[in-house]
Amino acid sequence: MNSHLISFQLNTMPVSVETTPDARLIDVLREHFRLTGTKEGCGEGECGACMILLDDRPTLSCLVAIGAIDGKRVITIEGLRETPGFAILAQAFNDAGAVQCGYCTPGMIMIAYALLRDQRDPDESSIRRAMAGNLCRCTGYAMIVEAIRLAATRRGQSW
Amino acid sequence: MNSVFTANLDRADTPDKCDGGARYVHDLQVAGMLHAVTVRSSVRRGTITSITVPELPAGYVQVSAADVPGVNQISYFKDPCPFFAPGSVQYRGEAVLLLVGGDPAKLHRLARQTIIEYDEIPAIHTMEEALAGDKPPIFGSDNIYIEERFGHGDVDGAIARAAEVFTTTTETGYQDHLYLEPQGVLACPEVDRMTIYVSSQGPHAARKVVAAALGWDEASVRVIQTTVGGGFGGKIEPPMFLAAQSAVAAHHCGKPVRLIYTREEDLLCTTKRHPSRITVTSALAADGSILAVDIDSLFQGGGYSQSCAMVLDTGTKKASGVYHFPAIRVRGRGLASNNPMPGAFRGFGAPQNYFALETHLNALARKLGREPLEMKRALFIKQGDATITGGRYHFATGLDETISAATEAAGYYRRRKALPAGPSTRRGLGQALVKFGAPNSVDSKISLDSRSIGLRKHSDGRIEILSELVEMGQGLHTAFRKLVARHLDLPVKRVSHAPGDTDAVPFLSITGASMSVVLFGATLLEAADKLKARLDEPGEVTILQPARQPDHVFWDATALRGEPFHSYAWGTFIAEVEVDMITYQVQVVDLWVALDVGSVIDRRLVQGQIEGGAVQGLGFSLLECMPRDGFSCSLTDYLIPTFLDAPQVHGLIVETPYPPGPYGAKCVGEPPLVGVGPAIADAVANACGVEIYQLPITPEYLLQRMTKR
Repeated sequence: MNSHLISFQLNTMPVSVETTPDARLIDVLREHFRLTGTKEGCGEGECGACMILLDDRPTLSCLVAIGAIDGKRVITIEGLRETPGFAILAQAFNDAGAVQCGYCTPGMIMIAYALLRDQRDPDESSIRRAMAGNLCRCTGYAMIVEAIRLAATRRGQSW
Repeated sequence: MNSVFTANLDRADTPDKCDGGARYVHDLQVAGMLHAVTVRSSVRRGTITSITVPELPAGYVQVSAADVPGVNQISYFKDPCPFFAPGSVQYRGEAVLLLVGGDPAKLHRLARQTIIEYDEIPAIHTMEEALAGDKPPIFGSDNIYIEERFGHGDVDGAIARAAEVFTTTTETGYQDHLYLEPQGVLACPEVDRMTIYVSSQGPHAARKVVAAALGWDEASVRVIQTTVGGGFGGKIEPPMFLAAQSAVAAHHCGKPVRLIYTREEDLLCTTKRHPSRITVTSALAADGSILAVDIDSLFQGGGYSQSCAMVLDTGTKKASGVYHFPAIRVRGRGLASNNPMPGAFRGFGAPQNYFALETHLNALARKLGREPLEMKRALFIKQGDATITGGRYHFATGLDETISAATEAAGYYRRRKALPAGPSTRRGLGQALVKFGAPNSVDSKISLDSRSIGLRKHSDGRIEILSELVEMGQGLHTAFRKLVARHLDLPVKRVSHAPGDTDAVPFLSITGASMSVVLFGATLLEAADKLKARLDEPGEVTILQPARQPDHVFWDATALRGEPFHSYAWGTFIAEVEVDMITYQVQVVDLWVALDVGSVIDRRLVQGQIEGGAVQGLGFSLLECMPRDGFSCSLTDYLIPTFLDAPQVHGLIVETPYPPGPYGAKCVGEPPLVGVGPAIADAVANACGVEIYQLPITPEYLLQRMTKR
């Protein structure tokens, strides 16, 4: 397949990359742009570790071909961490003990951010349903649920 | 309740893990780096007759057993194991060679085009085939990697005299660790040196393996531990193989080589929990009391023994559970097969044996119409009782307190008989009791002097912990910082943990078997005692403290007599399940896990271990299904618990201090997993009125049990 110039917005900056359009977005983010906060846990859309926001929608970057995002907006954990919402989420993850090995954590925070953007104060079952595509093998999940509830109580008008 | 450690300490690693800044091995890129892809055996057993690699582009090479400058062997195990197939293969997925080059996609394509031909040898698929002896043996003449027997009293006599003999056989399957971070290594050759970046549970063990592979002295190899994205025992063995292979490749090419597994490869060829089949026979008196117990425990190993001997050994020593039987015989055997390769996994042989024994006793109680906890209570180990290896339970046991905590929180006695059934659902409560010995004693004739942990006071007053023990998520480094700060009476922010780098920290041990806090935490406090007297000295002060077993431990590894373990955690598990009588799906509604872990160093970390371990145990009990002679190489087939499968886990902490432990602490890493299976099985049995003898309890299995004529 021939290389194409793909242009998109990455963490608020306009960027272009010369690549074959079937390259996976996760590889372009990690290997080309060196944004390694987006993790690969399975490469088949089952674990959620590679979650990013594509035009504000939580999306698994291992399932997206770079050719499909021309002209779109991508936010990774490296972009999200500049926001006040991230600071509240990270503090809540810390306080609830929601981080152990940490490999799932950036993906968890990406989807939690989108959840709290769409729902001001989700109850436990809404949180569990919204997060069900993100796997964690360390915590047993309850502390992550608690972190998101804590963040919901502390969010104010931050996002 | 101990009052030494009141507040939880924020982990130092959380901010980087949240914002994506933490560097896992897959995140490392260095100039000139090449990638490696593994070409694997497509058959279970055979002799390699030819290998045809497609013509490789410039800059691409293959690396195999022929390119190993040192020995093609991992010496960490009781029996040597090659890291490149040495002309023959013993399991599907065994590494035959690496293809190395610049583009991972191209390498994967070339790997698929590589043709390996074999003279196949009839593979051993089951434990029956391993014992039957009608296929060429994989190991020795009988396929037995290890056999051990423990016990006391006249078991055969008791069975002969018994009013009744009651027998159960339980089976458990594979479980994959499914750490979220797949295995990976980056090997960087330098002038006369090799630096290995690895996600492992033991940097010095990896260094030894790499040095032997290259034929170098150990000082010429440096291993740097990267952030570990989960271990659970699964990053003890496989990283040694990846490290040796990538070091040989990097040496061969003279360039850095990065080897990262896909999830498919990781599921196919890395270690898993040993499948088991365990028969428990009890000799009963006329009143139903137990006169003797006979346990025959079979573990299905793989095509190489790897850590089968260690897992079988510790599991067999734990097989008598929380009981002091009038007479007992435990026989454990680890068998060779050509099935997927098992190894170390959180629980180390205990989950299989506790499922067998607790299921046996719970079934017996139902058969006799007895309340199981009351029936079991008559047999509980008491302080001062003998172990099945002729040692003693030297210290107070917290078992009764865990039973009280769990039964009260669950409303067990009140609700057990009165759980409501829905129109198409049934509910049940079940329980299981466990003890967990840790660490495994080593032979008292062996000095541990070459193993040490240290502390360094820098000239600016900072204190650094010098330890190779790995932070893999469990919170060990946080616990160590708290111990040292408390012991030196310094603010905890003055205490940091050195990076896991074999140039910077001394050889101590792999991180596993729940031994880091209870044993090496105590050694660390001995170092702190020495440093305390020298805190006011100017300049840098370094203390290296050799490890030693505590004074009450004597173990003879030849006779298998003495204290099998240093300390014991005790636990009560209660599960409440709802069973859908149309789909036969089991949902765990609540799980109460009461553990006596000794004194608590950090309550939030202990809760994290309890909740995470219990949910991993739930996966083992209900969901995680890998055909015993087959393969599940995708998360679409191999299901682990999600947010929607995980129940409310009620962690209940009992603190019976263990005097030789640091401030009385015992262990917490493995115990939360080991009792979940039998508690869920008992709950399902109570809900459905059929005994459950298999994990995982799949809908298919439950359907068969309930519709069997």
